Amino acid sequence: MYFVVCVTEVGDRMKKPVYKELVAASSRPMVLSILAGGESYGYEILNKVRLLSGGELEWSDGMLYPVLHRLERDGLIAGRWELTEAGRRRKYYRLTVRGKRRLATDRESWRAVYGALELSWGSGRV
Amino acid sequence: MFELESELRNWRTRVERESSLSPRELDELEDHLRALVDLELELDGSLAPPEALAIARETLGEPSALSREFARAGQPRWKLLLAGAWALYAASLLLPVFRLELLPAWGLDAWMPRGYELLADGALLPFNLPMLLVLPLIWRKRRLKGTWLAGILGVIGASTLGVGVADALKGGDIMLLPGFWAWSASFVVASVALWLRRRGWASARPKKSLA
Repeated sequence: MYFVVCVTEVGDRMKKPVYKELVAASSRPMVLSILAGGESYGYEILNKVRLLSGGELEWSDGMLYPVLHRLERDGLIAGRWELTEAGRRRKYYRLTVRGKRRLATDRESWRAVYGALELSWGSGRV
Repeated sequence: MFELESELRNWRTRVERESSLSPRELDELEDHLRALVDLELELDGSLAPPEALAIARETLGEPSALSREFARAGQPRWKLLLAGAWALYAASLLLPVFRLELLPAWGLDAWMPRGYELLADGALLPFNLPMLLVLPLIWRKRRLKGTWLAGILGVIGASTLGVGVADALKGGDIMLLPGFWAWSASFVVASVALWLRRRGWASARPKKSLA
């Protein structure tokens, strides 16, 4: 029983959410990556972020839309309004050609950062 | 009796009043709120709709917090353009301007009036008034559709620029008066800004239904 409690506590400590600066920095590649998989809307995108990160990336519901609008303004994604079967107005977003190019660049950058950190941690200095 | 639709309308009215979000942004947030309510009801069958709505509202955030998040994403393009138009207009008040009846009498070299000297001129009031009307839109939200204002500004800008170009082609002195060009161009830019605002401000109108 004590062991289980200890493991849970350690698990909780390790499962500290990713700090907000990193969440903000990764928001663009995250949204672009999700939309690379197909058209989607705000609520669905948010759920995918939570699912992909196992809940470690804490995106507030209100934070998503400004990110989407900024990406739309930059021409990386494009939105269109549709009526759902329930008769609701819903905005769907898709990746643009420019967005695909940016995603490729972002992917390279994040891989470079991740690779460098992995090497650094693997060298036993940390 | 609790009615979800009427409560959602109340929520929308409150957010509209307490934030600077446009109807289109509210459309998107309302869709999100509805999805959250559905999720809450689906997750907990014993939950009553008012409770589900309360949880969903809390998850989405307070109007002021939502407004802050949206503001963090940057100003909309129309607002930057409108601020640019006003900067141009303000600059034109300090630059030498063109006044038809003065040119022959005074001559360009002898005296070139500045824009601010003509601002109070009654003859120019119909031109300057629309520009003064759009100024509050830069700072605060107003329920102004602005279509007619965009039209008036566009007509003023296009016609004065047309007069300027015609004069320049005839070799007139208007070419030498930067105040005139800045003044005319500010109307065109403000008109474009209002058209963009109208497009972004309008409530969403979906074209077709999803199958």
